Amino acid sequence: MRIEVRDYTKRIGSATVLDNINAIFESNKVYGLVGVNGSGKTMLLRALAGLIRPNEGKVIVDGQELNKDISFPNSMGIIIETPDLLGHLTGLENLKMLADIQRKVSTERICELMETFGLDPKDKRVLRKYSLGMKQKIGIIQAIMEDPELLILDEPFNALDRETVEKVWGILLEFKKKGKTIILTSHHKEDIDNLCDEVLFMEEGRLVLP
Amino acid sequence: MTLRIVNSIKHKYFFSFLTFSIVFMVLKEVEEYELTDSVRILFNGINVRKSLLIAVFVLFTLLIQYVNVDAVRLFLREDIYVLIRYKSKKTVFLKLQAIILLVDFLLVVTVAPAILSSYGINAFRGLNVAELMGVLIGGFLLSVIYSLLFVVLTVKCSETRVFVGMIAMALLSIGYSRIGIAEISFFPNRDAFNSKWICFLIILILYFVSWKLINKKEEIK
Ligand SMILES: Nc1ncnc2c1ncn2[C@@H]1O[C@H](COP(=O)(O)OP(=O)(O)O)[C@@H](O)[C@H]1O
Ligand SMILES: [Mg+2]
Repeated sequence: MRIEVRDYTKRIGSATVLDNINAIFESNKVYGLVGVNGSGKTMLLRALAGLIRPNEGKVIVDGQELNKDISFPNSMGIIIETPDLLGHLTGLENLKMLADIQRKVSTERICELMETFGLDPKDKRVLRKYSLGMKQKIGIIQAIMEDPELLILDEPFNALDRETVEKVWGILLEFKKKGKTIILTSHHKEDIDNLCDEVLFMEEGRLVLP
Repeated sequence: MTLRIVNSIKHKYFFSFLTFSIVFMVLKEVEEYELTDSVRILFNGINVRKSLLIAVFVLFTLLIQYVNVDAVRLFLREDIYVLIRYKSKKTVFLKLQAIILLVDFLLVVTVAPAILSSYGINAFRGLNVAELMGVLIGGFLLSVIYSLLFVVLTVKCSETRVFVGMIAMALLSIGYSRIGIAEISFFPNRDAFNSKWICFLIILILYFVSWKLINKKEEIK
């Protein structure tokens, strides 16, 4: 999937949270977004996903303009913030509920993924009782379970233990090999060094040279 | 997905059933109301000079929120995970409406077993079924109106504020009924024909308002 960001500017109130962004993201690559808190990384990911509308500029996904030709990229997995979903359902029930919408993934596959991440599909505990790390795992599973062409991951390694982090690295590199586009943010240099083919630096809503 | 959401709130219907049963029991034993009148009080808060009856009506408007809150939360707050899968806001909006209709319908249906448990099977003998149905349909329309208000408010405000807002709304509509607008307002049954059309009109307006708001809303928290 090819994503092109052209002269993208987003203002909220009097603040310019994205300032004339230009970038191209292509298949077969992992992109890393780095920058201090509040520099606009999450906002840029939202823009790429079609979750916000620009004041100026546009995002073009495989030739189609977001918010015009299509609302969201066609085959996209996303994690922005830790998803809470329905607190009184179990992890598996929550994942099944999301899977119900497109019916692209079987229950067996969801259980398999949960086990890969060290979660027990038969766990009777509800999501509200999950630890932050467990919720994050559910978030990652819902992002990858439908085998999307584009992955947008906002701090996916937050709250994960070392073992799981390495597992996710492996999964993402597999995704890359399959020709997918991956864009992520992380505060750990190690994640970026291990995964990313290209690194983009953000500062006060702008893309800057390192 | 609709069924999964409805299925996941079974316990809420059970709680609603218990609440309805207790309400009917009190209305029957303490206030000595007939069955149809009890249902009318639950849905309309008529005869509002008694604070007990106001409380019953406010309780009903709160129960509507209580059963709807999951669907509304999921579709309007945690929605990005749902939204990107449905691919368009319109589908999400329509889905939410469908769920609300089903959830509210089931809530109103819950009144039936509650009647049975408090009034017993005998109460159904010699009952004016048409009249009861009228009241139930009115109650259903009213609950849809409140659900839509809930949706509209949720787009703009935090959950706590929405709940407080809904209570205020319920009290306000009782205020209306006190000054006599009840005859033409959406309280059913008095003037069944007029009031139902007014209900539909209000629903239509709320439907458009909520669509406009949701369509304009950006997915940033
Ligand atoms: N919902 C919001 N409303 C208004 N401003 C926001 C909102 N979310 C983020 N911002 C602002 O946008 C800027 C970029 O935020 P963000 O993209 O979350 O930064 P990062 O992810 O790099 O930490 C910040 O200045 C932040 O204050
Ligand atoms: Mg961020």
